[in-house]
Amino acid sequence: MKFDDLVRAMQPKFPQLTAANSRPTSPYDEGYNCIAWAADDTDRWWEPDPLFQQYWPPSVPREYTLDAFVRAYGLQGYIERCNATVEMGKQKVAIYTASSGKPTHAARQLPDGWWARKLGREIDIEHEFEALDGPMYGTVAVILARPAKQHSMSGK
Amino acid sequence: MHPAYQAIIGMGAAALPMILEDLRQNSGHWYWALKAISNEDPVVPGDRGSIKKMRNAWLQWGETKGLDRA
Repeated sequence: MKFDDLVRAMQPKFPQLTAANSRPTSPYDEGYNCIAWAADDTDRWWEPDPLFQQYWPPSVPREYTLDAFVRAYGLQGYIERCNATVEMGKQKVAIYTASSGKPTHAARQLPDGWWARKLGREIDIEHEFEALDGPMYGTVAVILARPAKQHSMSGK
Repeated sequence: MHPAYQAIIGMGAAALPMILEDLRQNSGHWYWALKAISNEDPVVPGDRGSIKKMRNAWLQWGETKGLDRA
């Protein structure tokens, strides 16, 4: 499927998404999810599932709470709370929550100011910050920053 | 958890051959269901989240249990 067609197919879920404010990066890979991808881990699926099937940092409470997700990213160096502005020398992740407060999604900021995220079971994309706002993933609850590492523009 | 997923878990052990077959063919994320139904866990702690290793561990578990013949 062409990217334009995929964008059109996803617009019911993400009304603000367009081919102009997003770009594809890689096809779907079942080996990791958005939470792992935002943490730069493409080898494991991160999830605090109560049956201990998926990876979750051992010292972090295994629960679907914003505090647990903040602590999980804190172990990756994302400690400073900040906004979505591009800041030289900083790498940022955004944690999304539903209206219930339950974390739903995470994205990682790229050096050019776009955001990289694994989009469900569809594709990995890069996009402008607000492009995927809407009912699907809720809203950004917190943005965390860490000192930037050497990092490719592709987000991988 | 999706109601359909819960319903499959509710089928109990009878669903295991079907789940394992889907895991073999489609690599579906059946790990919660497998553990919930079987009350076993062949995945070693170091492989948590490593989807291919988890899949292989459960498929091997199914063969050991004779559940790989749907």
